[in-house]
Amino acid sequence: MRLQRALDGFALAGVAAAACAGLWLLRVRLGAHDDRLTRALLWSALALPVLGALALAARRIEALTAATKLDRAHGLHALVASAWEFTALPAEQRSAFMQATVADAQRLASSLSARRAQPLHAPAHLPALILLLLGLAALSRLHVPQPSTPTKLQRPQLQALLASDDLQGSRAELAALTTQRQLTPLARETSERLTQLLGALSERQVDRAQALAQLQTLHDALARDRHDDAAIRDALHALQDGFSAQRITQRLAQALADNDRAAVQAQLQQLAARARADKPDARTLQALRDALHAASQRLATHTPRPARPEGTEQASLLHTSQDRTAATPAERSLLEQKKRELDQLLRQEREQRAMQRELEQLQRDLEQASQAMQEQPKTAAEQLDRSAQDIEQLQQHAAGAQTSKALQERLAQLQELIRRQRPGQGSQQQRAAQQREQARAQSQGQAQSQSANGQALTLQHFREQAGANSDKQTGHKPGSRGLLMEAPGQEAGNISLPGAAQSASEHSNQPGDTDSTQLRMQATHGPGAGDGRPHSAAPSSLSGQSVDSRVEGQAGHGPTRSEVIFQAAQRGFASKAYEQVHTDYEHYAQSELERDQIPGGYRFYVRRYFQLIRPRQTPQADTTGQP
Amino acid sequence: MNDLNPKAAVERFQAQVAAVRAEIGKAIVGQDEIVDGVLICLLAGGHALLEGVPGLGKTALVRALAAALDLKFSRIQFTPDLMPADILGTTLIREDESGKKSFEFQRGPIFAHVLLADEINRTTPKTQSALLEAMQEHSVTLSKITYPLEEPFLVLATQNPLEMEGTYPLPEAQLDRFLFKLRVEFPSRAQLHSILDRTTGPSSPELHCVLRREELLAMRKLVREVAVAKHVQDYAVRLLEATHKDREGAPELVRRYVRFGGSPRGAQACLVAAKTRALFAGRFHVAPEDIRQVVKPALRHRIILSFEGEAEAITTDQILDQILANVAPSPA
Repeated sequence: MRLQRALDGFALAGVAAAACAGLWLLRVRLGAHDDRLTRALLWSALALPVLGALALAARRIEALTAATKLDRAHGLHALVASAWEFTALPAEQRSAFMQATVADAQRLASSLSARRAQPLHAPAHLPALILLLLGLAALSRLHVPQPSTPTKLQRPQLQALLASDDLQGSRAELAALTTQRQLTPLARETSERLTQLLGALSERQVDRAQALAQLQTLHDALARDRHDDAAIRDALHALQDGFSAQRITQRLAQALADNDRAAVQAQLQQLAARARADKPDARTLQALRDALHAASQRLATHTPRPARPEGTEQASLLHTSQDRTAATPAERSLLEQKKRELDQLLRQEREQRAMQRELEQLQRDLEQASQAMQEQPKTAAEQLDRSAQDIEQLQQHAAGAQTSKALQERLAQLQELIRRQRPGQGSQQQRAAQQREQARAQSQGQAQSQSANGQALTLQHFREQAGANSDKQTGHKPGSRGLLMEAPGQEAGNISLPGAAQSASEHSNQPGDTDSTQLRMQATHGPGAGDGRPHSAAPSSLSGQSVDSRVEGQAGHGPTRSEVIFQAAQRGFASKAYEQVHTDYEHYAQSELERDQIPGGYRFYVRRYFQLIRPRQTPQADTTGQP
Repeated sequence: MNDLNPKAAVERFQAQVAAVRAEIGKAIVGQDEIVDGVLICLLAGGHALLEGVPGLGKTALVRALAAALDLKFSRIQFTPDLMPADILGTTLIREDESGKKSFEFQRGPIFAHVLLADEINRTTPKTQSALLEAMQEHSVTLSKITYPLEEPFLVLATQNPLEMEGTYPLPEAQLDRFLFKLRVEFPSRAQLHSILDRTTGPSSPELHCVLRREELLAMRKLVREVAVAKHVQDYAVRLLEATHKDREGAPELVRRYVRFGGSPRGAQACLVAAKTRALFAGRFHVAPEDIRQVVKPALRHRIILSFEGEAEAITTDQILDQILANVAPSPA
């Protein structure tokens, strides 16, 4: 029994010894040959099994235990154990049956075998010990590189979040956005960071959560920068109103309405030339003076007051309290995030002030030109040239803001692509193709609406064409346009129409047009290519004969939100009030999406819905009375 | 007592038991466990409750036992209108030749050595309780006069587990007075053939007395002489403790389904029955195996199940099986 116990103790302590040996081997492999801990581990590994065996073997063995083992091994029905107990009693207390039991046990004692009672068997911990020894053997053969040669840890390759053609398509679209348009500093920075992120996605160096978080950060930064666009457009719209009061500046007003930067420059140069003429007509000068004065006054009323962006104060407080409160890593992380937000807000504030200064400069230039128009026409002409430069800068700002918006939409699409990229879903190629198609349609739609070279068919053009065209439903005469017509060679795009379907349903089949396999209602077939087939779709309810006008009023006296939405459904998604409503609602929806309250399969449709009902870029359609 | 030759006494004991078994075997086919159980109760000085469906030979077994032992046998068929006086006896007025009248106690059927209480659960608790004193004290008290019962006194009660309507389940106090509760199982096919051969022929087996009353009393004394080691007795105690849900080592079934565990009488029953079994095996001492063999019949009627146990159709045999599996015969 003691031998068996010794074996059990050896195996049990051997497990611990093997663990010590493993640690020792690991330290030796790592170069720690001679320190105290390494030596202690080695000695522990050697001594533990011996100590364990000795400790268990030295433990006291109960006689009753041994007797029971003998009884079991020999089938004696507790004879030996009972006799052992009976012999412990005084002789006078033993009954005849007790003595008979003891006598029986003594008679059988010579035939009992201790080895049979306690056969040696493998210790219970032997398998674990063998496994550990095998592990040690494997560890001893493991080659551990020396620390003197630092190795670059290979990051595990993550799952691909985007298909390669999606990545290429995104890069191409990003390049197109950044090279062809004016960029705000934030948009430039965002595009650079997005380019880096696409590279990381291509290398599979970021996981899904990281990619989504980075995209959301970029998206949020751009979302906060959106007000520039509205303010500039508001100012240009006021300028347009001012110039439209006089006949001599009506073409300039029209160029402003068309957002045609080249035409605006040309018109202003013409006006400056008329002012520089040797004998300028007094009535012309007076008309010019009045127009410039009216534009200046309108501009003065629409120049936004410098307002501190929302959240700046809170971020400033957090920034100043950083040293006091940043106790935990989580708080430090939060403060770092708030600091970044503060930097963005401050930068936004700077840009806002710069834009305001430009608007004030333009207003001053126009006012000075107006004052100098009668006495010093040449000075007024110089002021007009300066005003042209100011307007050019403002239009560049507006174009940059539009680029930011396009960039923001692209970011949202990328987020959606990554979210929908889950294992076990259907064909990735099919989804990627569908996503590219949507992205392309979106990009083309924006390209059309944003284009400054006059290729885009704006709502104003459409109205003029529609008003001039008496046969809207069967307009297939050579040179005539249908209800929705695009210039030859122009790509398909969507046109802001109340209740209109998305761009795929409004594609035309112009030469050079992209493939449009879906619904083709209200489409023409190119100049002179009418086939005489009747159109089945009803014309738009938007009257081409109407003249949109802005209604002056005070903030807060406009329609309620429900009225704004109702009017948007009736007249089109183009009013300024609707733009605010859409921004708010889209923000709410975005918040819910980010909190994962919306099932993954519906995220795309929510975003697509808000994309379809987004505000259109036609300030003339602002008939809601919201100043 | 030290003059006793244990070896000879045990051998004689075994021979007498074998003779009784053989005689009973003439009338009863198979049912060795039941026969052994009844013999243990007889030799240990206890009573037995036989439970089984009708027709399994319970009454025949008791009759055969009484015939083989040359003991006075009486049978009471318990019915709902049976009165205690019908069992114990009654006092009658007797008039002698001189015309003098006096009371005379007319002994009831309980004054016998072997009493067959057939279908004991069909009578009312009042009548059932008339057996309490007789079973425990081996005496009957009527009109302030105590009448001792002649030894040996053995009550063999039967009850039918199928019919519950119109029956009165035995109260726990009375159940506790039975040394064993034996379940009579249905015989095997071969045993059925033997039963048919013996009982449908022209002659029925004739039983003879093989054990006199004095010999039986001597055997009862011998049973008490069997030695029990402390560790074996401790095993019986630990088994009994395990039937109590609030004791350490109680298995899961006990904690969930037992309302009351076995009484100390249960441990007594285990030990004395184990001693008898040790003598059956020709040993001078009790082994843990003896304890294990008698635990079920000695404790199954002393464990009271909770409502959950009754609802889950848990049997006390299941609980005892788990106890036997959990409690080791020796601490080592």
